[in-house]
Amino acid sequence: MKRLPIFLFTISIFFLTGLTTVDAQTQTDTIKFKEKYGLRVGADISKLIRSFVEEDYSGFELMGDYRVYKNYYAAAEIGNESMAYDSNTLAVTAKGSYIKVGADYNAYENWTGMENMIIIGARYGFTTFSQTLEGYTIYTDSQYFPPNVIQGPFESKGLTASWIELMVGIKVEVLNNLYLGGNVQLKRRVTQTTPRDFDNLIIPGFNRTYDDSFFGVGYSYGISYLIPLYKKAKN
Amino acid sequence: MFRKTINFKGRNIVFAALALVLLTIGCQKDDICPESTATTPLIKVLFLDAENLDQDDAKSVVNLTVKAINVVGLEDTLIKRSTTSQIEIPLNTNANVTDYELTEYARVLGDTTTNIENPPNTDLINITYNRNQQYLNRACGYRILYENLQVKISKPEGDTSENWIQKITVKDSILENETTTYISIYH
Repeated sequence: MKRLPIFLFTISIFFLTGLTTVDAQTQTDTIKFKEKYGLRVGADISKLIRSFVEEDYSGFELMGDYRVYKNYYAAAEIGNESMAYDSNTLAVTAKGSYIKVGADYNAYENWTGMENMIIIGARYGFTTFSQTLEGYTIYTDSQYFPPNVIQGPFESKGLTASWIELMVGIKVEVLNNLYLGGNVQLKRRVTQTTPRDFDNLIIPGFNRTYDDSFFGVGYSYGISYLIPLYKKAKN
Repeated sequence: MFRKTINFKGRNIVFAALALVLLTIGCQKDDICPESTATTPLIKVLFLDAENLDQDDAKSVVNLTVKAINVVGLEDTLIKRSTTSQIEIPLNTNANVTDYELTEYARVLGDTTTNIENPPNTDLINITYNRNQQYLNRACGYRILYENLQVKISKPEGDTSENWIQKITVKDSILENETTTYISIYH
């Protein structure tokens, strides 16, 4: 979780620089500027970096959005993750694929010629995955007897989970049609199948779960490219 | 200038969502098993007066020493020379049997005095049970619940003295938490 504050800090700088560069523009032209409509495809960089840096993580995510109408975008992500969770008493790993579909709304009113975004998005996420209990220790208050350590792996296949997600983020056009963007996500689990006499401690796409809570959090930081299909005047 | 560029409603939603995300992270419990959780239970042992079996009067054992035996690598004593009428003992979660040595009038280590009024007397209790694993939560992991608890009294090999324990009863064979009495020892 320590990564998140750093990430928020990074995107806040990003956000500020994105807005201040707008100042350089002048509003003298009266020509009606046409805005680009098209399909934007990209990949999550943060998951790639984590795959290299973290020993027990590997994952990738492809994302795409399509501008449907004015400030409204249809959006989706598809990904695959393999992750681990360790505590004093047990260790689990999980791997699986997920898909998220939903919509983005651009709450940022661009200056003429700019096409940046402050995104408010909603998604429905679904994953199929497997979770493996690598091993555990029977919890006892008394340390008198030697601990009872049970070695796995015990794999539970064919698990599913679904959730709804609210996200906020930004996308900044850094080069023509090339965007850098990040977002934070608040997730609420809707359904899940759990292993027998156990629980889902980590869920691909949803990240770690919390006992007694349906909520989860996540983030994404990615690069994407806009394939312009047509242009339409802003009115 | 900022006021113009972000539409007002959108900005409110952004801040509300950010606040919600931060709150969610901030309010989560650490992954530490709370002490109040009923994990693998200890067995409560009551020492009662054997002269009035129906009364169930508490009767303290003088200088009681309790030590598990027949466990590889275990040399520690659980209870040392305690005068008490009530103890809590763990069971070995690695096996379906736990053997304890219960010594009354236990002496200080190195004390070899003979001809004393109350010589040390060691009885063995053999506890057998079935173990049931149960998942609790992320922080505590798994616990073991014991079923079909049975207790037998014996003497260490070669010890010809009389048992100081007269009778043992197990009140409940299913152990769910640590607050209930399970083994009564009459002496």
